[in-house]
This record gives sequence, C-alpha cells and structure tokens, in this order.
Amino acid sequence: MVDAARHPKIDVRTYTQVERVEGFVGNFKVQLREKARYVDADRCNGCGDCAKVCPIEVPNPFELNLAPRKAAYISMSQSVPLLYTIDQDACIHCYKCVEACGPLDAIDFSQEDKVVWEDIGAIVAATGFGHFDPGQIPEFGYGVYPNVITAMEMERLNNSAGPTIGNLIRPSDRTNPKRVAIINCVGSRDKRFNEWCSNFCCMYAIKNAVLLKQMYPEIKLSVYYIDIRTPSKGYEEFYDRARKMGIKFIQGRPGSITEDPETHNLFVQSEDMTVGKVIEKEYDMVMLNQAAVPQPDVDDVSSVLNVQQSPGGWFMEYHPKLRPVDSPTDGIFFAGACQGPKDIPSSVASGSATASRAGRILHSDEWEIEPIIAEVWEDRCVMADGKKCGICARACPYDAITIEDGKAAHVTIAKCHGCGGCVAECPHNAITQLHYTDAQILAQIRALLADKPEEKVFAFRCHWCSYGGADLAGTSHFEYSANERGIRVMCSARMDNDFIYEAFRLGAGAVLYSGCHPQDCHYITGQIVGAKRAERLQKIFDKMEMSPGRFRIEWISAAEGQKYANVINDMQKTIDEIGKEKLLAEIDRLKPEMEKRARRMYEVPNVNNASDYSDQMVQAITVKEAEDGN
Amino acid sequence: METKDRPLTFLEQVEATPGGEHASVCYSCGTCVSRCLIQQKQEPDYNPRQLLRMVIMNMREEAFSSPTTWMCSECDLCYSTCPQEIHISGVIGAVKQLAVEAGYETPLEVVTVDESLCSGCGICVMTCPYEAPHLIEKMVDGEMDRFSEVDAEKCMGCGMCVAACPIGAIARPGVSNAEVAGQISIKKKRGVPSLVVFICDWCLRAAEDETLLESYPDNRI
Repeated sequence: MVDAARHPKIDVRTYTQVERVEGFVGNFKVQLREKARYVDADRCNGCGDCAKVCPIEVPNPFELNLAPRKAAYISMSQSVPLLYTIDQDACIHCYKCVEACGPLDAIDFSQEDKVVWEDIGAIVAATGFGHFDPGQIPEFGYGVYPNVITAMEMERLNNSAGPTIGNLIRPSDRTNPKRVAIINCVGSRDKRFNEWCSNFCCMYAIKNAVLLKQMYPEIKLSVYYIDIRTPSKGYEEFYDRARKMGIKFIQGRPGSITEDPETHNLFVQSEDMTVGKVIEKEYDMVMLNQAAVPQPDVDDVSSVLNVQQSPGGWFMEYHPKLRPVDSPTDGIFFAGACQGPKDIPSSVASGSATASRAGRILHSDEWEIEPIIAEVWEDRCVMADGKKCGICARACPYDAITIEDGKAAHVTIAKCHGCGGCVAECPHNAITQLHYTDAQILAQIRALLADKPEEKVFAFRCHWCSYGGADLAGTSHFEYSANERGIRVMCSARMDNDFIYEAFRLGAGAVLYSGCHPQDCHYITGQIVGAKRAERLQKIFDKMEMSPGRFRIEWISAAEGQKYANVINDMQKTIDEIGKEKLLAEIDRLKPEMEKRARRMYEVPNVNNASDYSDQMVQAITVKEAEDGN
Repeated sequence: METKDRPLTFLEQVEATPGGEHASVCYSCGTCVSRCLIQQKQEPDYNPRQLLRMVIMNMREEAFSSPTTWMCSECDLCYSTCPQEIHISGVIGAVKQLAVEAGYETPLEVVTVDESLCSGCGICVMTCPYEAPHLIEKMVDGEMDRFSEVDAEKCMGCGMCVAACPIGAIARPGVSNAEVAGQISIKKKRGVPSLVVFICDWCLRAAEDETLLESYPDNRI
C-alpha cells in the first residue's frame, strides 16, 4: 500500500466516495465526493498529537469495537496516507487538537466535502466482502454468551497490533482460554442465510488453529466442520500438519451451544459423525467462522457502476469461465472478493488480471466492440417529430440510448451490447440491430415455416441460455420432437411481438418464447424486458381464445438440456391433443388478427425484400425436392 | 432423467411421498442429531442423519427396521436448525408410511381402546396430536354403534387420549389410569407426607436423572 501511494503514476484517493459514473469504455466521467477530514492533507504529518489530547473516546470499528479510538483518529496504524480525520459525530469542539497541532496548523474545521469530476479510462471495482452476523443464528448464542466470538474478533485478539497486544483473552473474565472450539460454516452452506460455501474459511480455521497452537502449545483446540475443503496447492499438507500438531477435527455441525452462567464456560453439542454419537464438550471460548457476504452497500455501488449482481448480491462477471474479471459493461472490471468469496491467492490473481485488462484499454486509441449494435433510423423515430416517447431508452440495460426532445434517439455504440431490447420495444420500428434485423429474422421464420407449418413447434431461443439448452439436449442425445424449428436471437428482449404474430400468421402449430432465468441474463435486465412482453402477449392470445399451450414462455438455462427436450415434447403433445382439423381452423380464424397486429413490421425497410428472397429460397427447395422425387 | 422405464428407487419413492420431498439434499452435517431429544434421552441408536443417509443410499430394509423410522415425535427441534431446510420429521414420516405399506409394524407401546366402555364421543380424535384415533361404526348385537379405533402405526404412545377419555376407555400399557393410581397409592403407604411429582418422560425425567437428583427431598417419588 505504501508502495502504491509513493508510485508517481498512482493517485490514491482515500475517504472518497464514487457517486456517479457516466460515459463509456475509455471515456468515463466519474463524480467523486472527497469527504471533509477537517485536517489539511498537505500540512498533516501524522504525528498523532491531536489524538493524544482528544478527550473523546468512541468504539473503534477497525478493532470490531473491542477497543476505543479518539474523535481525532486514523482508521488503523498502517493507514495510507497517514492522515488524521476528525469524526464530527463524536467531536465536542473543544479545539484541544488545534492547540496541540500548534505551528503545523493542519486542523481546519471549516473544511467541506469536495465534489470533483474526473476523466477515467477504465474502472476496477475492488470493494471486498462483508461478514455475516452470527447473531442471526440463535442456537449459537453470539451476542448472548460473552465467550462466543467471531473469527474477525479472534483475528484482532491474537494480533500483536490489536487491542490486547496479541494476548488471547476471553471476554468474560480476561483469562487465557485453555480450550477453544472453532465452528465452521456459520451462516454459509446454510439455506436459511447464505447458500454458498465461503471458500476460504476451512483454511482460515486451520490457520487460526495452528497459529494459536504455536502461541499456546498447551491449548486444546477442536474444529467443528461439515466438510474440510483444501483444494489448492499445499493446502492439504497444511491440514495434515494441523492434525499432527494435535488439533482435533470433529465432523459434525453443532446443533447448539449452552453456557454455564457462573463460569461462562461453553458446552458445544454436536454429533461426532464418524462414530455416530452425540458428544457434548466444554470449552472456555468458541470462535464462529462466519460466512463471507457481500458488502452492506453493494446494491448502491452496483447501481452507481450499472453492473449486475449474482444471486446473493455479489457483482456478476461477464462470463464465469471465459471472462471472469470483466463486468458486462465494457471498461469496468472486478478484482477480489467483491465478486464472490475468494482467498488471498485468487484475489491477487484477479487483481493482476484486472490490471492487465484495464491496461489494454488505457493503451488503445481504438476499441473493438461486437458488431451487433443497435442503429436508429432517424427519419422513423417519432422523437424527431417532437413527440414524447423514449421507450427504447427505458428498455436499455446499459444506459446506451440518450433521448432529447425534438431529436431522434441516439445510441452510444460503445455502450451498446446488442441485446436488441430497444429494437423489439420500439413501437414504430425505428431501430434495427445489425446482423439481427427484422428482415433477417423474418426471412428465417418464413423459411422454417414454409412447409406444413401447423405441425411445427417454433422456438425463439436466446443466445446465452435457451439456445445452449437446446444445444445440450442435442449433444446429450435427449430425444425431442423432430417438428421443432428454432431460431436464435441474442436475448429474449429481442423477441419482437411482430415475430410471434408473424409465426402464428404463417400457421405455426405452437410457439416457444424462451430465454435465460432472470438472474442469469447476460444483458443485465434484458430478460425482464422480454418476460414482460411475453406476459403481455400471453394475455393478448388468451383474449383471442387461442388454445392454451400453443404459446408458451419458458426460462431454460444452458445446463437444462433435459428441460428443453421436455418442453418441446410437451408442446408437441399439446398440438397432437388439439388435433389437426381443429388446429387448422383456429389458425385460419386467427390469421387476420395476426396479420393486422404484425402489419407495422412490413413497413420496415428491407423486410419485403428479405421475404421475397426467402420465398424464392423456399420455392427453390420445394422444386428441388420435387425433382428428387421426395 | 426419465424414470418411466424402471421402477422407482427407494429415494425416489420417499421423495414422491408427501413430506419426503427434499431428502436428497441432505449433506450429512449432523445438526439434527445433536438437537434430537430422543437420541439423547431415550434411544442412542436413534439417528435422523443416518436414516436420511439410508434413504439416499436406497437402503430400504435397513431404513424400515431402524428405530428412527418409528420413534420420531415430530417435535421439529431439528427442522428449525437444518441448514438445508429439510423437514426431517416429514421425511421420517414418509419412510414410516412406506414401511407400513410394506407390512412393517411399530415397535412402540401403543394405546388400546376398550370397546365395551367406549361411547364414541370423539374426544380422543380431537385430542391426538398424531391423528391416530378415528371413529368407526359397526354392528353390535344388531345395532349400529360408534367406537374409537386407534391406528397403531400413527400412535406415538404419548397418552394424551388416555387422560382425555372421560370414561377411561383408553389405556396404554405401563401408564394406564389404574397403574398410575396404583403407583401413587404405593408411595402413599410409606406413611410420610409425600410430594407427588408427575414428570414427563422426555425432558424432566432426563433432567432429574442428570442434575436434580441430589436436590430432591428424600420423600420424592
């Protein structure tokens, strides 16, 4: 940290909050609030005289409130830069610090928060993780029994720079504990709180146990665990070393902790699974190895950065395997455990990776993006005629569309990721998506429904999930109806009403509207845009008295090949049950309505040309098949 | 996977039985066992974790003959602490139902109804926490009459119905009205003023066994 602060090209801004992020890759504008320290950064030399004379003591959050700090304080002794801050919530304005500071004159009570805008090329979020509050688990008695402490409290209690100068004492009577239990998976691997495994706690428990054993060779240590996970290099050997040191590992998650009210000793009840019996053991102190959870303000940060969150609240990467440190927004990256629990080696690795990813941007004059961006036909956009609209801007998950009264909507192409949500939402068909134009998709629909459309199960699939699901069904040899015909678009948000109407107008037996599960969407909120539209469509079709099941909405992940096959088979069954005659009658009945509803699309440039082309193709195939005698 | 072409495994059967839905997510942490009063106070071989394991490993016969299948009193102390949110007593109930269907019988002492006394009032039906008794109608001496009948597989032998029955038509071996009254009168014969303490077999008796023994006055029973 000191090296970073001294580096000529690194500008460390502490006590500063990022409030707004605008712009796009390579051209971000970031609003920063430099909070008032009430200490002049250029004058303060970190001598600490102000803290010495300050009469006010408040709990020190860095020491987990185990020790006090003054109202004039540094957050920890290794603070970089070494600048004192005056806590205005605690300060009583006695001005003793001003006196103590003397000729340096560093203390300035007139300071105010400074708001500045900075030009930024790339952003790395490295906001870390928070800690689960074990008080939520009543059976462990944290907060009730004084000698039940958390792992972080243990960390401060045996730290030589901590409040006890490294002397491990138990809170109830300040004696050295002789018997200590460590309980793993407190709040993690627990569906009541956090379902995930917190990744590093097994090794952390072993490290703490070994450390305590080295400091106090006579101490008796037990580690309660469900499974011990030692998946990296040297980890299993370390676990082995801990066992050889005499640390007891007990497989069995404790069901309760009780306390002797006089001695404040603790009784831990658990099953020792290997012998299949319940054991109750007495300890002087119990350490709860609590789960890693997202930072408490993770929602605010994710909305400032406009990045997506995984289930549980962690920042979500662009792709878990192939682009693990990129956010879905170009130019924003994640380092460390803000993305999910990570141990030190993985955090360092992801930090290095983000540095090089960000470096690529800073060293480029030009930036390549996917060519599937949205484009506005300015002459068709009603905003240009002075009307109010802006539907496209509301559909965009990336804030890539700017609208201004009297001007056509404008797409910032560097921000566009090509989900196609705006294209499908635009009621005037004034936006198109390159390589996924209405004309191209329509040509596909017409070609696939050219022959016996009433027998077909027509599927719209999104590129990332349901298309992958269909692919998996194929590679896994899950059988599904051969009447299935599908086309791929980037996101369920691109599945225009008009496409569905057109498919039914052409006489499709059934139409599937499929995409990612909401939390898996690769376009932040694209699926939500798609899902809303699909629900509206369902209502419209219900009003038309279309047979139930002919239009179906399903969210299928790339891992759910079986589900895809089942859904298609189900839809085939629906068609079979309706029966051909009845189905044909229904298609004929609904055709004029569908045509009426899809009519706007025929005005879209190139749609008719593309349709003619596909008609010719189909005709050619039919002629060829006839010649071949099929 | 498709299951239509083969018979269901034991695990699938349990999961298809109401209550047994989430048996397969158990990762054997043992929290339920360490919470269980039956395991600690009554039967050391009682082990819900092992029963769930038997279900997962399709060990049908072992599961049916395990005491765990029959002794769960559905207190649900384990349910509130299970990190996988498995309704364990529900799974045990599902196994028990399958065991009954397979012809297994409960090893517990269950209550019996004396039909010559039973008036068919139905108080026992309302009292039972396990829905074991129900009313039946049958011909006695040419007349239709109502009786209570107890489903032995559902009865856990708590004795609530024994106490509730206004005519004393229900009895449980060991704790019938007559036997309890007999116990009280024997103690009274000692001739000293007695303190009669009624204790529940689960919690207080165990507490008495463990800690309170010395603090009782000599004339306790």
